[in-house]
Amino acid sequence: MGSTGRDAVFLRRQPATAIAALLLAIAGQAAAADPETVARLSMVTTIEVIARESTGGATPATLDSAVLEAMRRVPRHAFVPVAQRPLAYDNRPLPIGYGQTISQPYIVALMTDLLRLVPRARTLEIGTGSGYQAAVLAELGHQVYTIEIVSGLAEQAAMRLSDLGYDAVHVRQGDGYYGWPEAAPFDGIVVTAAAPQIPRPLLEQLKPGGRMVIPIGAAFLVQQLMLIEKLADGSIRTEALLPVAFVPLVTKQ
Amino acid sequence: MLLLLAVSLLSAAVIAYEILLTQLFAITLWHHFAYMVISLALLGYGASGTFLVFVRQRRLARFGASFAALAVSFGLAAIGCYALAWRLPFNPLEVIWDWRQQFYLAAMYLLLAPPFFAAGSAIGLSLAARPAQINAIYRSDLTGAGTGALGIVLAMFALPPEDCLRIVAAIGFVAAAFALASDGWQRAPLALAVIAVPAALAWPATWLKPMPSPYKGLSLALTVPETRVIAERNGPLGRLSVIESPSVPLRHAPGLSLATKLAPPEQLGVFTDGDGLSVMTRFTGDFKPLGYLDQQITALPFHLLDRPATLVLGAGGGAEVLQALYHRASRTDAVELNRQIGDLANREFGEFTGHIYGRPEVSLHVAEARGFVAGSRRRWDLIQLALLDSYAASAAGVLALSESPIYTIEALQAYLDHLNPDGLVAITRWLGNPPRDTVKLFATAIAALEADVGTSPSEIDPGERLALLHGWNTATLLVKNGRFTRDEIANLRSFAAERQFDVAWYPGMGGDEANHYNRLAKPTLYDAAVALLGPGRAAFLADYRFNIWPATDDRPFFFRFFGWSLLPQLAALRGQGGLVFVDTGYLVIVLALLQAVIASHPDPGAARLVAARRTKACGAESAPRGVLFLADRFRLPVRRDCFHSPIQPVSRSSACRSLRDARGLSRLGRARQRDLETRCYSLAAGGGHPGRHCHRQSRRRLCNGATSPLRPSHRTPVVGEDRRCCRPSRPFGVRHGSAISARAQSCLRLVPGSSTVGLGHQRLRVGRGGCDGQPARDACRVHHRAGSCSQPLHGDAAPARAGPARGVSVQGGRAAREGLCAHRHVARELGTDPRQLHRRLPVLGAPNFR
Repeated sequence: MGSTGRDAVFLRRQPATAIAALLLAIAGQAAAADPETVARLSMVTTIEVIARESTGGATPATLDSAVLEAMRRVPRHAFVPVAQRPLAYDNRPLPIGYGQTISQPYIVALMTDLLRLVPRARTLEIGTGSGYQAAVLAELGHQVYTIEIVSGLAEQAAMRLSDLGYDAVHVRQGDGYYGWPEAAPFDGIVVTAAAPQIPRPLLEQLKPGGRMVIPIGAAFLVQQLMLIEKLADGSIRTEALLPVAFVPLVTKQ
Repeated sequence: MLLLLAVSLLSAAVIAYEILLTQLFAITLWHHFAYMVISLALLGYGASGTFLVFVRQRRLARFGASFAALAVSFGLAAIGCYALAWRLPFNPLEVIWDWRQQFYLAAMYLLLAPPFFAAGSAIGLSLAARPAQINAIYRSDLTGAGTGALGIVLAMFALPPEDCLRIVAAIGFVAAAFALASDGWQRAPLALAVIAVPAALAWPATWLKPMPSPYKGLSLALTVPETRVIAERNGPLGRLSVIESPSVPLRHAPGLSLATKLAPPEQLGVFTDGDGLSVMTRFTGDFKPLGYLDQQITALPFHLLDRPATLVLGAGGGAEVLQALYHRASRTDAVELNRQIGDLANREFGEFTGHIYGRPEVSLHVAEARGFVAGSRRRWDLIQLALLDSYAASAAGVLALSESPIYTIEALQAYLDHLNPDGLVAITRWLGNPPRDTVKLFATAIAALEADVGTSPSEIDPGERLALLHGWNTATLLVKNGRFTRDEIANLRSFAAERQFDVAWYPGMGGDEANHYNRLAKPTLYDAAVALLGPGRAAFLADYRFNIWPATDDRPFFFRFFGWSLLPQLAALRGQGGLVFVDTGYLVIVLALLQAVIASHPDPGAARLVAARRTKACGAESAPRGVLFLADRFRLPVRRDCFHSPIQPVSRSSACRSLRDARGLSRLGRARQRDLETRCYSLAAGGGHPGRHCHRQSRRRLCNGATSPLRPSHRTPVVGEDRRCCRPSRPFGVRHGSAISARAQSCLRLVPGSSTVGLGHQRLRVGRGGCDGQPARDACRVHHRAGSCSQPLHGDAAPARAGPARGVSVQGGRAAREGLCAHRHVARELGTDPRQLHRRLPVLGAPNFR
C-alpha cells in the first residue's frame, strides 16, 4: 500500500516519466514472465565475460555477435532432459543419457565461432546428441547435416528440432565416419563424438579453406578444442586451442 | 576352537569383501575409488571400536548370540549395502560441476561402511569376550585375513565378482553358525549354516551385476547399434570384455597420420574394466590390408632400424606386435601382464588374429614389464612401449594416483641397458594440452641418460640421443643407445613430413621447424626440449605449471601432473571449465578425504562422554589414520605437527596399524614405506603425552623438537626448560623415524634423575640416564644448552658408568609390545641387531621388558 501511495505522488508530479517507467516495468514483467529467456540472456552475458577473460588460450577475445544472438534465441532448456531443466542455462555440460552430454554453452559458442562460417554455409555435425549445436547453427541461417550413431538420441533430436521449427537441420542416424557425401563439401564440420582418430572421409568432405572443430576430453571434461583447417592446397593443419585463460605455463617467463 | 574358526572365517570374508569392492569399483567407476574403499574399511572398523565401548558389557553377557547377529548382519549388509550404494546416481566426472555429487559420494561412503562395522564389532567383541585366548583369536584373525585375501584372488579367476560377493556373504552366515556352536547352541548353528546358501543366492542377479559408468569406453561403445560383448573374462587384474561391432567398425589406430587414406581392417575391442581399449586386428597372413600400420606415429623406429629385434611392453591385443611383423622385425618379444588377454588373442580369437602370439618369430611373455626387463639377459634393437591407457582416462587424470613403474628414470635406464648398440627405446604417449606427459617423459629420459652407468655410452650429450615427434594427439619419444646419425635424422624428417607429423626435437634441430602441421599456441614441446637440455633445467622444472619432475621408482607417479599451486587459479576459472585441468583422481580423493575426516571424527559430545567413562575413543583413531594414509597418497605438504593438537588420542599402536594398513593394502615403494613409517612414528611420538606436568604449549613444542634423529647428520638441539618439561630451543619438524626412542632419550637427558615418561596411553618407565652423570656413548648428537652436557655425543666410546638400572622398562602388555616395536625400529634404523642395540645406544638399555 505504501509503495502504491508513493507511486501516486510520483505520478502526479512527473506524469511523462512515470508513464515511461510504467511501460518499462510492464515490458520487464513480460520478460520476467518467461524465466527461461531471462536465464538465457544471463547465460550469454556469462559467455561474453568468459570469452573476454580467456585470451590466453589463443581463442578469440570477442565472439561473433551473430553467434551470441543465436544463443540468445535457441531455447536450451528444450534440449535437456526434464530433470535437468532447472540447470539448462547454467554454464556447464549436462547429461542427456546414453553416456552423452550437452556441451557447456560457452564451448558451444566457442566452437561455432571458431568455424568462421560464411552466411548460409553448409555444415556437418558428427554426434547430434541433443541437437543443441545443430539448432544454434541453424539459427545462424546455415544448412546443418547432422549424424548421430545412437538411434534413441537421433530420433529424439530429430523430433525436437522439427517441433522447434529448425527445418534447416537434417538428422540422420548412422556411422559418422563416412560423413554425408551427398551433401558435401562442407564449409564447416563439428565433431562432438571425440574419437582418437579423425575420420579421413570427413577431411575429404571439407572444402578447401573450411574448418573442423573437435572438443577433446572425457565427458564433462573438455580440456581443449582441436581446430583443423584444410588449406587451399588440400593439406591439413591442426591447432590445439585451450578454452580457458590458462595461466602462463611457465611461471617466470 | 569353533570360535577361532568363526573369527577366521569372518576375517577372511571381510578382507575378501574389501578386495572385491576395489574390483567392483574399478569395473563400475574408476580404480581410484579403491583408495576410498580402504578408508571405508577403517571407518567401519574404527566406529566398531566406539560402539563396543558402549555396549561391551551388555553384549558380552550374550556373546555367542551377539557375535552371530553381527556376522549375519555382515552377510546381509555385504550385499544389501552394495546393491543400494550402486543405485546412487554418483558420477565422479561431474564432481567439478555439480555439488550434489559430493552428497552422493558421502552417501555411498556411509552405505558401504556397515559391513565393515559389523565384522569389526564381531571380531572386537570376541577379543573382549575371551581375554585369555587373545593371542589365539588374533592369530586366527590374521590367518583368516591372509586366507581370505589369497582365496578371493583365486576365486576371481573362476567367478565373476558378483558371485564372489555371494560367497563372501554366505561365509558371514557360516561364521555366525560356528560362533553359536562354540557358545553351546544346539540347533541354531545348523539352521544358520543351511540358511547361508539361500540367503546368498536369493539376491536378484540384476542387483549385483556391476554396471560400468555410462561414460566409460565400454558403455559408450555398446551404445553403437549391433555392438555387443562376445566374450568376457574375470580375473584379479580386471574384467576383460571383448566387443564386436559389425556395422560400425572400430578403426582403432592411435597416432594415425591425417595424411593417409588407409584405415585398419576389421577389429575386435578388448576393454579392461570397461575402459582402456586395446584391439585385436584381423590378420590372415596377408600384410596388404595392414598398410595403416606404417602410417601410425609408432612406426617411426622401424624407419630408423632395419628388421630390429623388438620388445613390445604392454602388448595387449597385439597391435604393436602386428606393427613389428608388418615391418619384418627379425624377432618380437611381447610382454603382457594379463595372461587372459594373451589367451584371448591366441586361443579363443586365434583364428581372427592369425594366432599372432603363436607365430614362430613372436614369443609372448606373461610378466610385468619392468620385472621382465630386469630379469632378462637378452638385448633388443627396439623396445617399444605401447599406449596402454585410454585417451579419455589420460585426459581426465584418473590415473593420477596410480603407480606406473614403466615410466620412471630407473625404468628407462633398465630399457637402455637392454639395448643393442644403436638400439632405440620408443615411447608413445597421448599429447595433452597444455603438454604434460610428453614434457615429463622427455625430462625423465634426460635424467636417465645422464645417470646412465650401464653399458650405453654415457659420455654423449643426452640431446644427441633423443628425438621427439608428435601428431595432433600423440607424441613419440625415441631414446637411442648412441648418437643419432645424419641418415637417421634425414629418415626421421622425411617420415614426419610424409605423414604430416611435427618434429619437436632431434639433434641439431632449429626452432623454425617446430609447430608446423599440428600447432600448439606456442612451440611448447620444442621450447621445453631446449630448456630441459640446457643449463636452466632445474628452473624450468620448478617453474612449469604442471608437475613434470621425472618419476622415480621411489615415487612412480608418472601421471601425477597436477600441482597444488595450480588449484587457486583453476578454481578461479571454474566457470570456464578451468577445473577440468585438475586431475579428477585428485578431486575425488580430496572429497573422500574431507568426508572421511568428517564421518570418522567423533562429535565433541560423544568424545566428552567417552572421556567421562575414562575409556578411549577408538573411533577417533581412525580419523588420523585416514588422514595420514590419504595425505601420504597425495604427498600433501602437511606439517606433521598440525595433527597434534586437534586430534588427540593418536597412540603409537594406531600409527603402527595405519602403517600396517598402508603396507598391506597398497604397493608402496620401499622409500615411501619408510617415509610413511616415519610419519606414523613421529605422529605417535608427538601425539602422546610427554608428561603429566607439561602444559599444552610446551608439550606441543616437545612434539616438534624432542624427537632427536639418530642419524648423526641430523642435529637436533634440545634444551631443558625445567625439570619436568622439555622445551626445545626452536620448533623442529619431526624428521626421523626413531622418534619414540629418541623422545624418551631427550626426556631422559632433560629430566635427570627422573624416570617416567608417558608414551601413548601407557607409561614407559625409564631408568636413570641421559647427559647428566652419563657418559655419552650415543649415536646422536644432542646438545644440551642449559645442562652440563654440551659436547657432541656421537661416537664416544667411553664405557657406561651407570648401573644396570639404566634402560627402558615398560609396564603393561600393550605398551611393552609398543616399546619393543620402537626398539626394533631404532635397531633397524641403525642397521643393528635389536638385541645389541643397547650397546650402541646405552640410554635405551637392553630390551628388558616385563
